[in-house]
Amino acid sequence: MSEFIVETRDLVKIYPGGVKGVDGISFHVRKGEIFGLIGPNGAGKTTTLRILATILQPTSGQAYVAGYDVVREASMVRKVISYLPEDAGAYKYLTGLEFLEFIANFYARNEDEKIRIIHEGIALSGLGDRLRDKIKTYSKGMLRRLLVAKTLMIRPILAILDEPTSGLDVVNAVMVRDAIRKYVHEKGVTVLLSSHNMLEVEYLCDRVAIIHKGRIIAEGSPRQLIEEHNVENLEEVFVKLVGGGIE
Amino acid sequence: MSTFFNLLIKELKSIIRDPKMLIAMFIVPLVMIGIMYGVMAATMQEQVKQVERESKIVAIIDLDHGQWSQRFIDYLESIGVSVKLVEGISETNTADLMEKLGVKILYIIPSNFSEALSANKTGIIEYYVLLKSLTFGEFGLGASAEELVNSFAENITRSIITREGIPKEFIEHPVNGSIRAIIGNKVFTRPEQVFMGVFMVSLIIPLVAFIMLIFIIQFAVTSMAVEKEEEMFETLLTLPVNRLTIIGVKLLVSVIIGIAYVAIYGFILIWFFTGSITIPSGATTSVNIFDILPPATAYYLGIGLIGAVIFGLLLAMVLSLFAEDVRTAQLISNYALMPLIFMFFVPMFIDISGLSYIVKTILSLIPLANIGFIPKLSILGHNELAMLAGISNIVYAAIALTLAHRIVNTEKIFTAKFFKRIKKKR
Repeated sequence: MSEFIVETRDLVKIYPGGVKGVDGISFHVRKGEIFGLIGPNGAGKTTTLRILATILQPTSGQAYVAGYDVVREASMVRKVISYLPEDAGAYKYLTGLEFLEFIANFYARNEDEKIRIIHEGIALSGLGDRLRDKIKTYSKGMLRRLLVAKTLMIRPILAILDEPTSGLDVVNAVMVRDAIRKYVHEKGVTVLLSSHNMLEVEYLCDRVAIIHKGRIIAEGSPRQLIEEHNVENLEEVFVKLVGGGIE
Repeated sequence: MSTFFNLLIKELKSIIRDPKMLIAMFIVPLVMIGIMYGVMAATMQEQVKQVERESKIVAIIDLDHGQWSQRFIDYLESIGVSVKLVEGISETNTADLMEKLGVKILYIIPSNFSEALSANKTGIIEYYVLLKSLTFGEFGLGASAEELVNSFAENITRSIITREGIPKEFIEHPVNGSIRAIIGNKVFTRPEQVFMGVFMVSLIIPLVAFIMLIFIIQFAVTSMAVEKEEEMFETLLTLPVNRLTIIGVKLLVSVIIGIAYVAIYGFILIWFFTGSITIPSGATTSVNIFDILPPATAYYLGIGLIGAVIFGLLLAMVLSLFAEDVRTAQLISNYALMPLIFMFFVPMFIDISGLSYIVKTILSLIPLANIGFIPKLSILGHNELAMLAGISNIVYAAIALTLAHRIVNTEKIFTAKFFKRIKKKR
């Protein structure tokens, strides 16, 4: 396996109608790091994540996850990733526990492993007894915590999180961020996430790539980018780089 | 647990627990059909009883006062009919008279009735039936009134033939026909049974399969749309499971529920028919239809039906991938079902016996519709075309499977949209 868990080279995605989703993106994510893709809406973050999650296929360029080609070896990629879409839901007539078990069944090789995965899911979600209730009774925050738990509990080689705290209130957002950070550092899971919340990215990510109009315009650790651009925080880096260019 | 059973259990749990699915697609139709059949059965039974009750009381205006009119009155009383003899009529309106007497059947025996019968001439009895409620049961009163007259006429006939010593069978059927039907190179003594058998194979069996197919298609399409509506579709595509397995599970669940649905409907239907309608014994058939048709027809029909069901399902499933939600899915399935329904009923109205071989070949290749042609083609001796029809549906199913495979294993499964939607975010 390559030293990189994610590796993309000149990744291009053109949608039917000629709209460019991404326009020659190249980056890599090292094992055990949390890598953030940041950028405004429509910058190409979700397209990139969907290509790596084998949902979309690139028009040109290459993308590898754990050494597997996302197009030619999509089924192998699906075995090593765990993906959380931004607009993800869950089967509302299952209980939270049943949902965790449903996901665990895809990955567990035996009953013991399944139990271990479910226990991790229970701990990660922090939902306690509410896991016995049907998902349709959950608030948005509870649902998101359940989904983050189902994504991480299987200890994937790569967790892909698209806007993990999108639409959450402060309390729930903090809980989700803490769960991600704690779990990733404990278990050595590699995370690729997207966000337009600069504070979140600064808090969570070891390295980030700022993406704009389908291209990466800056890459490095948050501290490095802040120092390079001689500003106070990542938000200012972002504004300085894309300036009035946000559409 | 295998991924297949994992998905299967999830599907069943979701369906059983989802009140929308359970109520709208299962309970409401079943309750409605049950109530409809029940009400129809109860109403029909009640009306049959009404006819029996009302035909037990009749009024008679005897203008004859002869031996044969008296015999008619005696005969009715002997079979349990209550007779109200009308003497000295004051009412000029027949309806008012019947109303006053509380009867719905009134016989008028004319003055020359006994004279005619004694002279071996046909006697006439006039009768009136009072229709008030205009129910189906009441319409049976006329038949009951006529039946009483016919029964009396038969009674007279039996008396005469006994008196004259003529064999009863001879009087009843001096001439009898003996009918034979030729289908293909076989001769059948009961053509009505053959017709019923062919009717069963070419219409009832495909019709039941088709009703089931319609239900299954709608269920399968809805079930796929629910994944999108619950926003699980994107996640599902990234799980380590073959995407055709996801579709296969949905099809299997739809088929299981479809079979259960048809079985319950069938049970209610049988209960309704056996409970409220007495079928004359002559109408039943003991003919094995596959004695009439060439032996391989059952296989062609079976293969054709299986192929048609798989083809229809895969077609629906592929179309459902274009649906964004349950509403669009229902719309799509309706669009898909309309031509299927049309194609299914085409064979019933086409006489293929006079068509050229090429046209018959083309008809045998029409997907789904060819099911209805298979028995006809077999009967006409075109077993090779019957086989072609059966196999062609399997080929169509294989093509649909290939199409489904191509779609589900590419990004089209995610990007295909029935209606173009502006992407807010990339």
